[in-house]
Amino acid sequence: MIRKSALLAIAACVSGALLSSMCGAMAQSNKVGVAMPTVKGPFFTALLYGITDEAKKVGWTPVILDAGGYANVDQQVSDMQNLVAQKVAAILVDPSDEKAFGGALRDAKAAGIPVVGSGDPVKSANASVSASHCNLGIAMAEGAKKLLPKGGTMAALTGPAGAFWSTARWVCFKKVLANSNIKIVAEQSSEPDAAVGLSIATDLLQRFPDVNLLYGADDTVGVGAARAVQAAGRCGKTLVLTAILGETTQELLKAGCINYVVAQQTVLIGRESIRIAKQLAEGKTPNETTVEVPVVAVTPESLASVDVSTIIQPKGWKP
Amino acid sequence: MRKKHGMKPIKSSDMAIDTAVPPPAAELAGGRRSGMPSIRWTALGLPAAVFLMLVGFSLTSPVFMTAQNMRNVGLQAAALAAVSFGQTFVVLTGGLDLSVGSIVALVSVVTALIGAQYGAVAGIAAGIAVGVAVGVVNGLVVTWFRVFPFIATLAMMSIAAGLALNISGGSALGDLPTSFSDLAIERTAGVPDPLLIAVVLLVLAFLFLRYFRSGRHIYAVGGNLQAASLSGIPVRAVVLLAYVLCAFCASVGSLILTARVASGQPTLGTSLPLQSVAAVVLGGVSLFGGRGSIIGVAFGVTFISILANGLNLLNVSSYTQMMVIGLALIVAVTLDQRIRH
Repeated sequence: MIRKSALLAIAACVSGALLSSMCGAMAQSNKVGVAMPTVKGPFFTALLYGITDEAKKVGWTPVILDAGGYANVDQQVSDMQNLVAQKVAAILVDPSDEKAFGGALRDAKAAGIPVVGSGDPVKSANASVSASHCNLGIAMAEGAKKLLPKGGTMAALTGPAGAFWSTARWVCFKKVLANSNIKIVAEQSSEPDAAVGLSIATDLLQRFPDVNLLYGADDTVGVGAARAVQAAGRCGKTLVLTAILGETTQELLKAGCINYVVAQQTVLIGRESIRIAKQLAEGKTPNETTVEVPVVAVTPESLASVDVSTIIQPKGWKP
Repeated sequence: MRKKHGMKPIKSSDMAIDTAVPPPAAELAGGRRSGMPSIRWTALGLPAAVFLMLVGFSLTSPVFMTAQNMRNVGLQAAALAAVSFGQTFVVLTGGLDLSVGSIVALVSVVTALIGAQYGAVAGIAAGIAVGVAVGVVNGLVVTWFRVFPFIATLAMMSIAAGLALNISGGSALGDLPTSFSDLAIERTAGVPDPLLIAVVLLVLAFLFLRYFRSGRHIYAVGGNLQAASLSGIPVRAVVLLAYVLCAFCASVGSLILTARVASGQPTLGTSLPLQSVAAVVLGGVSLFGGRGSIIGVAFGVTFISILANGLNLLNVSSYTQMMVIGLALIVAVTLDQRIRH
């Protein structure tokens, strides 16, 4: 019985190899690979819009692989290796943790496929386009100071444990506030999920009913925090500070349940990533290989006048 | 319920002997080995499914059957294979280990922490020691404290995950010795070393389950706990051993993954509990215990890895992939039930 199965397996490999050679193993040179830790959430929706829209303009078809969560580091590494095997023209990657991608980056380099860090800086890639997460954290800290000019207490939903972007934002945020009169009474990490954010924020409001400010690392947990504040009837009393300007965030800004947003120009990050990747794939040298896209502070008062076309995808667009 | 004169009543539920499977006593006496019906399924059904997938993906993706892609599949399957082989020991006893993913994470951070300071060998030894210790705790909780395996290992999953995050401070730990992280890219005769490690583990597991007394005892305990106990088999020790072996294999899987990502990741292996159970069940090992083959599990791992790789190459979304794997699991369990009855 076992011998039969071994023979079957060998026959499969041989016939597969023959069929593959008959079909031809052409390089997928009109495709751009995109390896993301997740495609959930407003940040990735906006980023993928920028990538796919710009890719169409340059004649590329995006191949988008989703690792299924920031915790699935090994899956994202595998996704990138799969893209190398597909011989795509270039790879855009937003690594959940850059340390893990050394091997995959080496594979891409050996295959002659340029890699662009998109959304997060990747030191060993050919280029990177991102907003500085530390600068984002600093901008959020300045926002906290504006919201609480006389000081107060705050609790934080710091985002996924171990994710580079959430750690960088939080560390730089805390540094700016170190000598201020804003006291951090609690901090909790979680996956970037609105339901989880809502649950954690509800518990925080239960523990600290008079907390002045809630920090949401990005607008998935930020929206969750705002919903908790809304459910508790505390919009405008417990202020909410978050990053990324998604559709729901805009609604909650208008409703006064989110009070300060530091927005990345995420669509612009996606577009720039494709432009640089195209240049690299054609053997050209881009003017800059590390592009830092500035952040934009948005309040309920300034929302109407902000140009959102570089920040967020058109209404209703989904990846 | 049958009652023998002068003896404690024996409930029919205690004697859940599958008439297609010989009782453990006969097996120990050198009779027909348990697991023959599942071998029939895995000898034909699963390899045939793998064959069809290989042909199908080769037709639909020109890069599928290339050396690079096959190396990728092997590399990606290696850690799942190690964890699945370990899970097999526990499932054969009629149990389940949901903590394998957290063991992977804990071993990863311990290996990175110790390895960065004292070198690769010390890191590996420390990682395996911690993993095995978790296995011992799992085994003791299930055997001596008589906690249901699902609950015991679910609790351990949470404990080990929290411990990993606490030790690492929630961040990845870098500075691994390059001699360790190079393990993931080294090849022997063109075959990635992690895959070779998984194959060695497969051979050792096969030999243990087939030719060693303790291995046969694992089948006996899973096949009929009461009969095994009455036969003089030290049931508690056997179950404890199964959890320790499971944790050891999960530790090996963790070392493979840690080398691949070149860092200690406190959230590594989150999808492994479900995937390893899927591979075990697809491979024909009965969730009721006592029946199944490690070779079948190897085919189960192959099936899952090739399916995931092929669907990725076809750009099928990960959400749809989850549905496909879930469906395959239902089909496999249904067939397993039909063969049993």
